[in-house]
Amino acid sequence: MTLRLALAAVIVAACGLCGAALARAEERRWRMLQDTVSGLKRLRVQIVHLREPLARALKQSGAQLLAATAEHLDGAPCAAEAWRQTWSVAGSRGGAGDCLSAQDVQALERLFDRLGESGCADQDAAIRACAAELEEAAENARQRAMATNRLYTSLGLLLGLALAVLVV
Amino acid sequence: MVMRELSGMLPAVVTDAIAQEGEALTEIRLRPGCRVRLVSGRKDRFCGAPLAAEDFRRLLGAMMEHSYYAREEELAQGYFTMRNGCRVGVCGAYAPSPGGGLVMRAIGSACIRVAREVRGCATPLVERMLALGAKGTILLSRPGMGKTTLLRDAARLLSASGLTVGIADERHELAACRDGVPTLDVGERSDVADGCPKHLAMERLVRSMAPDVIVTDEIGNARDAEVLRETARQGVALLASAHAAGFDDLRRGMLGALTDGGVFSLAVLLEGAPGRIAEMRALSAAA
Repeated sequence: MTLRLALAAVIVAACGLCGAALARAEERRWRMLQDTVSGLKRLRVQIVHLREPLARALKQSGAQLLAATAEHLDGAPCAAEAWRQTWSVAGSRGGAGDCLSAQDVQALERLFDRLGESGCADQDAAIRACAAELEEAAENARQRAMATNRLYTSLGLLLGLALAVLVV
Repeated sequence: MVMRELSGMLPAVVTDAIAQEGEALTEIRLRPGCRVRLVSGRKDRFCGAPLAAEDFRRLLGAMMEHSYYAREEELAQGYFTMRNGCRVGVCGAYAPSPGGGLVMRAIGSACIRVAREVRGCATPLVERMLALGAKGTILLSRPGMGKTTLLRDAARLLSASGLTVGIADERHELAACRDGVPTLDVGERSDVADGCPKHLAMERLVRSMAPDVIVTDEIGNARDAEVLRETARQGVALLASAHAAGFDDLRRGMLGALTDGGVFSLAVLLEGAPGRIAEMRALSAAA
């Protein structure tokens, strides 16, 4: 009986953790989007006001995905290609950006298609547009993360309890 | 130095040819669909296979560090400067800019002018300048005769002689600064105003760095002339260069007015071969 009770406790805890992990995926997206939006704001200053070379501007943005793209810029024909190389790693399962939605990635693709290829005014517009789009997505992700955090954790615990009852 | 920047971007046969040219190489000319043209003084040669448009675009992207925005104003004037101080002349399609002026819409050909340090090439010039008491000096030549190389070495030598040198390096060619710090040797007593229009750079240098000599490249407009006059009036010696076919140009236009105003006491003509000083001529205000 003791063994069964211990097993039940483990099941409840495991299911609760699974629920929390699912909820965290949305939170991760929110955090990644927040990081990218902050990075884009710094990138705008680096490019529009300081006219820093793109690789350095991306590095100094401090955002994980943008800084990673800077690493691929050397030898790439353009920023879009450097982004594709970055995304092939970051977008894969377990990568830094695997929590992002297809729309988030498309917004970044549109930005990198123009990044470094035109004058300051156009760069300003492209970065602002991308930052605005991702900022909105980040706010939605934050709200969803808050809602799903409680929901998924509770559902996990409930499922765990149901399984525990069956086991006991 | 240019090899370091371009290595990996050009086909091996071209980089080999560039290496063979060595110090004699003065220009690398690139055009999509054409072979790479290497110019060494008055000789040239073509090498490699015709450059694919995609490779040309890749090269330009790398040379501009994928940062068109940072070179927008330079490109509108038909050039940009690589981080190693090599100036790249460009030609292609221009379009009117919304704010007036022009923007370069597409680049159709590029000419990399190889920046180099030739230590000691300015020794006769600096010796003469110092003998005259470090007075205003104008360096004259046609394009591509090594004015910038000579000015760079002169700055280094003037600095080594104990003078404080201010360098107005509008096009980043003289000192090839990276974050305001020269990557080429312009001397331990030299301060560089990098990327700042010459007339503003000279004013700032005089105001804040108390130079004995100001070195600047390719003077050419009324604003430059006005500040040169004012700088000379404040007792700062000048070493400047200008495009000219010969000493006769010192009697005309802006150069004539500066010479008449006593801004320059020595004129130096480069002719025959890049960096070759053909003649140095002391000037009087009435020249």
